[in-house]
Amino acid sequence: MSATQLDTAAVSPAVPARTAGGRRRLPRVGLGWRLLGIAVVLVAWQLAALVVDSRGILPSPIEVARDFGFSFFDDAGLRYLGVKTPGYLPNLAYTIGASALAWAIGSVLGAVVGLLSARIQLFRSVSEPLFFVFGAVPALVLAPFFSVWFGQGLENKLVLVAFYCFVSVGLVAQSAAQAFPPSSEEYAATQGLDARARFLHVLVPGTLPVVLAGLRIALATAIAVQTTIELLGSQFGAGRLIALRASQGDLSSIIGLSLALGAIAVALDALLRAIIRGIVRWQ
Amino acid sequence: MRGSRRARAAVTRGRVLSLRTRGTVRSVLIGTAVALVLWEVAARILAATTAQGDRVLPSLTKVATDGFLGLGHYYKGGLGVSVATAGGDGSALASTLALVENAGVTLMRVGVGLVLAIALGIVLGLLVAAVRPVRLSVSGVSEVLRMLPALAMAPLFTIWFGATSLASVVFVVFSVAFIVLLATSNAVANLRPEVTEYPRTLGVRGVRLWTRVVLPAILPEIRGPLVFGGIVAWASVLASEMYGLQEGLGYMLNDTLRFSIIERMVVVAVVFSALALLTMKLLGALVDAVTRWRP
Repeated sequence: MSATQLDTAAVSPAVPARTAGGRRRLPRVGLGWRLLGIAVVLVAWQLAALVVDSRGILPSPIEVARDFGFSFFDDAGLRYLGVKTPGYLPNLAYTIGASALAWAIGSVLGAVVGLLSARIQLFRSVSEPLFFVFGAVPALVLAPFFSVWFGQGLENKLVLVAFYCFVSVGLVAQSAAQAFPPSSEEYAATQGLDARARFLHVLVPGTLPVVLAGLRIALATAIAVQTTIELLGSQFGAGRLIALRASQGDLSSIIGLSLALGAIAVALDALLRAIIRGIVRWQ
Repeated sequence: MRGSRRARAAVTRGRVLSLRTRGTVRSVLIGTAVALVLWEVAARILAATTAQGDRVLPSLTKVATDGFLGLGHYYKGGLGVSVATAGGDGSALASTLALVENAGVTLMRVGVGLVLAIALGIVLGLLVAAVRPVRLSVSGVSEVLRMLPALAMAPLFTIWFGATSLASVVFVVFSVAFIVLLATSNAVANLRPEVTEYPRTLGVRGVRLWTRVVLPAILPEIRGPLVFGGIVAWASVLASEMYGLQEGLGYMLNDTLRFSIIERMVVVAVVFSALALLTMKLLGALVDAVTRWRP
């Protein structure tokens, strides 16, 4: 998946509303309906699996959960296939850990370059091809090159995932800085703030909520790109296990691992949203 | 007096940092040219200093010759010219036909999948948006789906539908329809009430209200997600073609990767990326044309 992901819901700064007493309240509107939607999908899936009645075509959610639990810490089948860490847990931890590291590096660089590119023409000119030409190329197109150049270790994935996070956050930061009201910076200039001070004390805090919200998009991008690259060739990781299971036609494991990655991503996103809410409490 | 002097000095100093920068086509072209020059320099240095350098990073000349001409054997005779006449590997005609044939197959899969996904996404999005509890329920499911590594699920569709075009098309629909659905239902929820209330006072109701008022009104807001859907469609078809399919640009890329023939990979990747970028531009232009009434 390309990193130039447009997700207006995620970019909107997560700022909770205030109650009459001035305390912040969590956005729980429709939580019940959301959970009901997920429950309905699970029930429909279970019923469809009962009708199909073939694990090889559509395993039920219960079977997927049971298989996932069975292989969570260790799996003799994976050991037989030569997987050095034959449980789902260490491989999921590897994928998430590598994604998080690349996300941190790429996002910080993206935020800095994105903001600078909105104010210094040289940075804009240099970053433009990165954001709009190379960043628009799907990760699966670049991944084979990185696999050949840097091998199947951690380095190639780190560089590639960090690049897509860089593009993702960079675009959000650039847009936020471009949309920032010029009057705020003009007023700061009349108060004697030089260019550097205006950048650090006006632009950076002013765009912080949007840039931090952009980190949420980058996090989902990081996990998706990392898993996808692992499919093409890796020694460890959930993507590698999905590729192995796909070659065996094991649908239950593919679905289980994909859902586990999705669930971890949702949990990390919620955690990140809570952290962002704390950071931009002043807003 | 002192404050006014400070303000003047600050404004003078402020000229070094512009309040807005502009992205230009020239900077994109220059940046791309610089990247190509750097590639060529690195390739020549690597070739001069290592034994296998030109296999790891081939020069642009090698890409344009060996890379392009080495694709001839991917032509299967589907364009009216027989394989024997085309000439196979080493023939410019066979290589061109191979690229056109496989790009056509991929383009067909993307096109059909994208049209179906957009149609399905918009229709379901409008239906979902009409009932608030349904909209909230669907948003819960799509929140989870948004976080799934969708491309990693490509093997599922190959197992379900076999190594066929159907698997690719259905996978594209699966990947893109939810993006369009979510964007549509959100856009309807964000519409200002007067947009629908005023036509209602004029007697416009039911299906007519949704097709003549709501749909045109939300198009500007779903422009971004539609363009993004175009990118996702290309990424999805690539993932799908890399798993077992025997035709298409994804198959060519995967096959050249198996033998680590970088110069051929570059040619396929460039064609693929160019088509993906073109789709983005086309989708954007199409929505702009339909919404040209916007101020």
